[in-house]
Amino acid sequence: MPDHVTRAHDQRRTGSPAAGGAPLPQADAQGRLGNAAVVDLLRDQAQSGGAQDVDTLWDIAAAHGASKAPDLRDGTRYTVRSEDLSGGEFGAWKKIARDHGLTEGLLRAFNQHVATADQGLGGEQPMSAAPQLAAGVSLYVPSSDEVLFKQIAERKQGDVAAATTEYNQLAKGHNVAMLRTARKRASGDVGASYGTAGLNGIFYSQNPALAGASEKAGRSEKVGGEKQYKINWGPNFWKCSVFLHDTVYSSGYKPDLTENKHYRLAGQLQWSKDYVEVPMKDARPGDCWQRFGGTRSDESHNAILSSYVNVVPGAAGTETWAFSIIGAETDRASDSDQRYEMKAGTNETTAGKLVRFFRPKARR
Amino acid sequence: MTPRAAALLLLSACAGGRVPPMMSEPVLSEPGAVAAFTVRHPGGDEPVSLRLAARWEGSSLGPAATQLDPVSTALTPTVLADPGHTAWLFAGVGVFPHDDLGAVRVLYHLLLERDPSGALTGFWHEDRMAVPTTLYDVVAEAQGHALRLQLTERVDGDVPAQRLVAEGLVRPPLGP
Repeated sequence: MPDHVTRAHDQRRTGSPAAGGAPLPQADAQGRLGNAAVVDLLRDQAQSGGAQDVDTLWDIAAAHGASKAPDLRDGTRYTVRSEDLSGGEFGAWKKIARDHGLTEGLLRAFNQHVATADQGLGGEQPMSAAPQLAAGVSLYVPSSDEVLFKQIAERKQGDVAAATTEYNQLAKGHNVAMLRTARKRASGDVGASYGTAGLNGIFYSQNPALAGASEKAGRSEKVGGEKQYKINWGPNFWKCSVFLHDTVYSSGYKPDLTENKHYRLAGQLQWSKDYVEVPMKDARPGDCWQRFGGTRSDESHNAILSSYVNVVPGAAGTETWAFSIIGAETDRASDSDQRYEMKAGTNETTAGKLVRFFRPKARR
Repeated sequence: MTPRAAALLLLSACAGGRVPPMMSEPVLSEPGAVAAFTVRHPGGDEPVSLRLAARWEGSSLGPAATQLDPVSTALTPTVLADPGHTAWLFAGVGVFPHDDLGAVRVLYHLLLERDPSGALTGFWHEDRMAVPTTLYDVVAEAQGHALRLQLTERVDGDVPAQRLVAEGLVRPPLGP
């Protein structure tokens, strides 16, 4: 078990200083909050189905051979600023979530120390309780690893051993890397650059082969410690396919670069030599998602799948597919919930759009 | 032929659904002329209205590679001095409803060239708020005011090319 997981585990057994409200050194807090938040969610899941506390859950996990807890990257702290609140508290949850490539629901779920996060205060609160979102309040921004593990644990109904096994399988392939990269590229200024208007007319990319990427002075800069090319393909164009292929590239996989050094557009991945289509039942978080809007439609879209696909049978030969994606939207790249009414047993929506899932074929 | 006889001939041709071929050249050359097309495709007919933006006498169109900016893939109309040839540029904007965004805009351009034999060829360009933009090769037939365009999409890799037909009329500008 990684040290920080053990530490969180032990602190919960013995009653940690944080649980009592006393502040921890920042390094310690950063080292344990993420897994503590996941553990809280696991506990909630288990309590709803079997009334098991977290210690019992980890004991079960160990008994099932999952003695090595998943190595989850921790999230980060964010201190609410007054400018976040310009749209009121409700708007602030959404703004902060989108600025970090998250859905509002996920941000609230990991910040139960804020009373207005919907589910109210309950259980141990590793961060200082706050009655509402206000300037100066600390929030926990979960890592994509933590979000993924939460999703797996929910699917496994709190079975930590099974969740750990599946997480580790996804970590061996492209999925965890793609989710980490998608979240990173959907956050901050890099995420804002994927809005339709770009960021001051440019978008950021790490791919030096793209048309317009240049080593000349001023044509790249360090953002978040990483070199990003500042690319200008003109004003006001949708960048969903740019975000998707950039994420694939920065995850270490081969994107589909056309002869003129642009990316394959949304709606065309089924013809790409660099991607392989996977059926919906096999789609996993970190795969690629595409909607084909129809011949000459402007409603094709693509993004990184950021959840499992939940299928709910509907009436009269239909079913609903619900999932989330991280992709470029009008104002920036972010995470968003999607729901499609499908013709049951097909990948066609009742509105005639085709929904497909893909994986990159090879490392670059 | 007297003016009256010429007028009767013109009326007769119009009543029969045909416009004398001699009309196509003056109309196509009219500054500010309007071309109203219907693009036929499986998703439904798409109306496209274009206005004449430029006309180059003694010029032909450059190769496809010269018609697009290599970085933005925006249209960069390029003509070459070529006696006996005439080139035209039509431009237009479309606005379409969109499920997620409310509406989207599409910029259309038609580059046409007539060679000394009378053959009409060129390019049809669409900027649908995506990069790369889409360029089609055009083979056109004119019959008086009527223009019929066969569009073949220029594609990269194994993507199947769209083949479309656009049918339309070229006429003088609408009223003031």
